[in-house]
Amino acid sequence: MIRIARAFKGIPRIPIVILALVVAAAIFGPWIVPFNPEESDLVNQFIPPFGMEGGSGAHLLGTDHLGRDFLSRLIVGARISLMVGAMAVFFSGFIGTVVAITAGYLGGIVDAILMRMTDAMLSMPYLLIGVALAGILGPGLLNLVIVLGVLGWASYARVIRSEVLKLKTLDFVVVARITGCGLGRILWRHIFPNIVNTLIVLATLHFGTAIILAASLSFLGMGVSPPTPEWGLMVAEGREFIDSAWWLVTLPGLCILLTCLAANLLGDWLRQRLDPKFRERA
Amino acid sequence: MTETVLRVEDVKTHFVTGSGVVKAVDGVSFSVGKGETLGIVGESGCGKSMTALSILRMVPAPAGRIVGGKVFLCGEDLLQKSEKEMQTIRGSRISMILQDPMTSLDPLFTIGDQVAEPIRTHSKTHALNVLARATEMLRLVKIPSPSARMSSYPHQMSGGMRQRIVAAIALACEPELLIADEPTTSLDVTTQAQLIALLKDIQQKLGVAMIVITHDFGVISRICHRVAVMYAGRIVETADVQTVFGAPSHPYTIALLKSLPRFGAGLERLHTIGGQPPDLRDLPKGCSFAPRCAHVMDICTTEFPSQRDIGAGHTVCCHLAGPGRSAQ
Repeated sequence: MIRIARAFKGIPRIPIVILALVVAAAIFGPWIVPFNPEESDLVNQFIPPFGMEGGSGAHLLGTDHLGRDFLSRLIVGARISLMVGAMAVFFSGFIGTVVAITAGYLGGIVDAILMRMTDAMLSMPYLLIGVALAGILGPGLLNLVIVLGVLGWASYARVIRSEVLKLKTLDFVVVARITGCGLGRILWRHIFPNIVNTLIVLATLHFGTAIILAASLSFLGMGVSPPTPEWGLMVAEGREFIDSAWWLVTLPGLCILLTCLAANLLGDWLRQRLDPKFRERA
Repeated sequence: MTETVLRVEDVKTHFVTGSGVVKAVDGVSFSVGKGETLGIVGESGCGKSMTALSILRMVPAPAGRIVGGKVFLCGEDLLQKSEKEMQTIRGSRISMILQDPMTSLDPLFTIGDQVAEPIRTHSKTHALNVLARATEMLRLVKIPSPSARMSSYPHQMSGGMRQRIVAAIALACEPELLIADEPTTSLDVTTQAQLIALLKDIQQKLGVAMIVITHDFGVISRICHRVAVMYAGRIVETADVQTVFGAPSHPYTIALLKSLPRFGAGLERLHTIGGQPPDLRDLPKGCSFAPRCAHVMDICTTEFPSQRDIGAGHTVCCHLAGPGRSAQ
């Protein structure tokens, strides 16, 4: 218990609070929202947020062009964004780690082929590829996650492979072979646990990027489709009303910004926390 | 005559590189008996470690390949075995201690876990027995409070203790052969002495055959029964330890011993061996040591001196020793 508490010492408070709120919204969203986020109410269109002229206490953050309560949409939108972010990170991380460990440990021609594929992925403009891929697959949550997974694995592969190359030279990997471990056991028991630190840092940083990418694709009509509340999609829908109902664009954008920023700050802190500690203990 | 545990016959290990074939091990033959320690001594780059890796069939591929010879472990030729069969042999019948104790242990797992790993890999013992056996091994290598240490991590141990833990891992399944590749090079002198005493003690208790690879003659004198001197991928002289120190025959061995600093003889320039070891891609015709030999003759540069017997268990590859009896 004390060890866990000590591990969290010095954690940056603001990012963790923001992320905690987002996660809470994602988990408890459907039960705590005051209104049904998908129910239109054309009588009450364009009510501004509370505190502004024309605002009301019933709709704390106003309503959109179809009269749907905006606060509810933002809260439920958190669930979609988090899900997409987490799944994208998981798939990219999985593919990237498998590629990196295979290429790094086996070396030779396997390494050469896999790294050329990685280089090719890294050199392509990701939004372009994302749009093209999304166009082929069509809209939908699962397709969005697939596209994000395919876009993201290369950065994991590059970094983790260099960690594997470093590990390969350390004697304990040779000792594992000397004691008769087969290839699979060495990779799973010795190589993988030693790259998990790096993987966690990369995943945290990639999470923010994934959310922005998901929002961008939804904005372009390639991701989730209406009436699903997704922050990027909400920005797109509110675009044409920006001069009269500015909150329709600003508030979802602010949510995207804060979540991504919190994830990045947390990732930075994790990187500092996990790496030097590792080295200073060794 | 003790039974032979390992017999290496004319093993050749070559590396194919862009600039030529490097003959790292070029026809090495020796044998080690039960309860006996063979020391392999030579300069850096002479092929000592590669010989050890060839015995274990862990030569770095694809550039390195064992291209010839036989390695008999209790009569079975290891070079004919499949990789799967080698995996069952490594760790249980042959084991190795590496040079650097600071990186020989996985930083993420406890000592107990790492000593238990070879036991788990090679036997189907019950979990509790595995832990008991691991604690026994720690006791064998004289780690204080072994049961408490089972849950410590490598970074909590000193270099000397880590090297002993590496020895415990190597001996966990009571192998027939233990190879120690420069086990004392990274340790301070006191810890070196402790480790050597420990290895000697373990050999007496378990009867394990040992090969100690080193460039330190002090270690040789304390633990080895027989010595093989290597130069440029070949063994140039083999003898029991008293003969190597007292009556060496090969000019290289003589020069090596002469270059050891002596105490109490007054300040004098250290003896060196002039010249450089040869390029392993382009070994000279004839004896590889000829360019640097003080007693070189014409025949040395044209004909390679085959191994010849010059006394009880004393073989040498040198034309100076006369025709003698061929050791083949």
